[in-house]
Amino acid sequence: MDHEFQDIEDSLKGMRPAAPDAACLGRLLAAVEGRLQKNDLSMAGVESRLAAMAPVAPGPEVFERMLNTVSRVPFPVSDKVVLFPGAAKPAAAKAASRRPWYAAAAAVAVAGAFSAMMVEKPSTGIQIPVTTKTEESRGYTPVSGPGAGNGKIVRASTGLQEASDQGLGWRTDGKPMRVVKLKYMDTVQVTQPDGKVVEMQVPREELLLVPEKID
Amino acid sequence: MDPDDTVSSLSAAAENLSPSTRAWREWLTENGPRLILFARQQSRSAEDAEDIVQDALVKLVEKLDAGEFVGGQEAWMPYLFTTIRRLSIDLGRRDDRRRRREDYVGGEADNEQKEAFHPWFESESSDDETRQLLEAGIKELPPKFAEVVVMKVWGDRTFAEIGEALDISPNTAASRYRYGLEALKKKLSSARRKGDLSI
Repeated sequence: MDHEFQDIEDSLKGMRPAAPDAACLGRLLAAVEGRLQKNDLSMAGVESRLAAMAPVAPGPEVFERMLNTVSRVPFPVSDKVVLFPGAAKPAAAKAASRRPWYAAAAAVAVAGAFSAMMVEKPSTGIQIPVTTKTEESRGYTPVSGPGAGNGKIVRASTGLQEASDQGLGWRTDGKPMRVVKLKYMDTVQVTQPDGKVVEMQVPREELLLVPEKID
Repeated sequence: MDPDDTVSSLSAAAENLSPSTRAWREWLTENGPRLILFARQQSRSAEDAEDIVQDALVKLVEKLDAGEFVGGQEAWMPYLFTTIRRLSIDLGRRDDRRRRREDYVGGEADNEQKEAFHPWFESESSDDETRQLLEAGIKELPPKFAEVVVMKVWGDRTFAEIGEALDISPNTAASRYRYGLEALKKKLSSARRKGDLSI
């Protein structure tokens, strides 16, 4: 080695590299320990971090401006969710939905009476002892036992023909109920004394009250 | 005025609102931030975003008032996202034409300074650095990826709804969403390796 560079070499060898700061040492340590290679950030992890971030709410002035804009129109109500009684009427309410609940109860009574009338006065003149209450009108009590002239029910059935939404009603305790009209056709086959089978069909309606979801 | 008096007077004012206005207020409280966020992603400033959302709401209530809106309440948000996007595009084109006419210089730098004071997300003391990093990442994403991420994560839209709003197929929407998340994931990973993130 050329002696003219010996002094420079000795000076250089005497210089020590600056030690990394604590933060840098930490990262280097993490690297050698394999903590940086392990990427535990999955797509689901990124998604969950994003979902945890809440968008900034508009300022009070902006919010009030938006509220003034939308409040010009009554808040439309979903068919399945109703405001509490006494609230503003929905913008597009069907006329049928304003039918009060007691009208539904009255309709049940009328339907029951209608059924009783139809059953007690069959066109064939055959007397059939059948209960007239609505709850029991689905089943017919067959006439059995000795006795000529009495019709015998050979078959009785009931079939649901139609179900329609009649709108909302409110109970006296303030609970909303949805009124559903059910139309049935009761069919009875009766044998006459001469052996002929007569079939009678009696329409029947029921009004079903279903508790409505409230918000 | 005593702060307690302010709160009580606001509460009293809120209680005096009609049920319809209360319902609107609740709906806006829940959905307003999401709409503003999407509008901010689509537009160039917080002010533009607010105006765009306002205009979109006007269009919605006009349709509701006229009985012309197709669909129930569940269709409001998809409609608003689509409308916000269209209004943003129109506003962007108008701004571009105006800037070309005015030979506007230096506006972008001013905008960036203003936007620094209008964060997109609520700040929480814990994990704020992650929030800042993700927010910056979303802003840096190509717009076609960012809009899908915003609609999916905060708009709760399905890929089918996103596709319909952006006029792309659901598969394309899903791909863009994945690309967007991948880019954000890389940003977080890179920041962690550099030591910018203590996660």
